[in-house]
Amino acid sequence: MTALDMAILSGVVALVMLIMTIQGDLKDIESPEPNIPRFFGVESGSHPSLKFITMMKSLILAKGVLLVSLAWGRWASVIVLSGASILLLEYNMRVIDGVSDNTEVSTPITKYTALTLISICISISAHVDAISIAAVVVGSLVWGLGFQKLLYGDHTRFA
Amino acid sequence: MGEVDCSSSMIRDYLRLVRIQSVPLTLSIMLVGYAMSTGTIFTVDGVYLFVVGTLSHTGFYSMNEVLDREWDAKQGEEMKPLVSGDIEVGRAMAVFASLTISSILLAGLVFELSAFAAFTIACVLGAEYNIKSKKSSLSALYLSGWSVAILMTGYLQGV
Repeated sequence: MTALDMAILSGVVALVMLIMTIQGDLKDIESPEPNIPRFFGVESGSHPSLKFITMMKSLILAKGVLLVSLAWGRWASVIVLSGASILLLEYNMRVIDGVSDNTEVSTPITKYTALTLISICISISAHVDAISIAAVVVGSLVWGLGFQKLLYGDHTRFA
Repeated sequence: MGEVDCSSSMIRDYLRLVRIQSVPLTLSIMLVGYAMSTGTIFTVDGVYLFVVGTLSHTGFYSMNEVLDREWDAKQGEEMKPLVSGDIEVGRAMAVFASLTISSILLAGLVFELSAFAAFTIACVLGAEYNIKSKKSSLSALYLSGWSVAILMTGYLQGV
C-alpha cells in the first residue's frame, strides 16, 4: 500500500462519511422541529425541494466515490461501490415515493452496508488477509444487529 | 427476580447511553486502517486498537447524548435514557468523562507516537462535531475529518 493509495482511500472514507451524515439530514428534515444547519447549508423546514436537494447531494457524493475509485484503477472497488450507489439510489427513490418513513431503511444502508462494502473493496484491492476482513465485516454486522435487537427489539436504530 | 430485572434494565439504559450498537462504526475504520499496513488484525496491537476504539466511541457518543438531550427531547426520543430520565445528566457526564479519559490514557501508553497524534486529532474533531452538530453547517466535515483521523490512527499504529 503506497502513500498515494492511502491518501485516495482516506478520501473515499471521508466522502462516505459525508454521505452518511447527509442521509441523517433526511431523517431530521421530517422531524417535528427541524434544526439542522448542516452540510451545504440545509437550514430548516420540511419542504419537498429541500428533501430532493439533500438526496441529490448524497448522490453527487456517491458519484464522487465512484470516480475516485475509477481514478484509482481498482476495478473491483468500482464494481463494489457501484453496488453501494445502487442501494443508495434505491433508498432515495423509496423516500421520494413515500414508501418508507426513511428511518427503517436508511441507517442499515448508509452505515453498515457502506462500511461492509468498503471493507470488501479493501480486501480485494489491498494485500489484507481474507480472515481479518471477514472478521471485521461479520463481527460488525453481528455486533450491530445483535445489540440493536437486544436494546431496541428491532433493527431500525443503528445511528 | 425483581432485582435482576432492575439491574438488567439499568445495564440496558447505560448500553443505550453509550450507543454500544454502533461501536463497529469506529472499530471497522480503525482496524481496516491497521490491516492495510500490517495485512492482518490478529496481533497485540489489534487488541489495543479494539479496546481504545471501543472506549473512545462509547465515551464520545455519551458526550453526544448529553449535549443533544434537549434537542432529542423535542424530537420525542423517549427511548433515549437521558430523555426518559432513566439516567441522570450528572451520571452520564461521569460516564462520558471516565470513558474518554481512559481511552486517551490507554492510547498514550500503547500507541506509537504518530498513531497517538492521529488519535488526538480524531478526539478533537469528534468533540468538535458533538459540540456543533446541531448548530454549524460544518459539522459534517468534522465527522468526515474524524473518520480519516481514525483510519490514519490504525494505519500508523501498524507502520
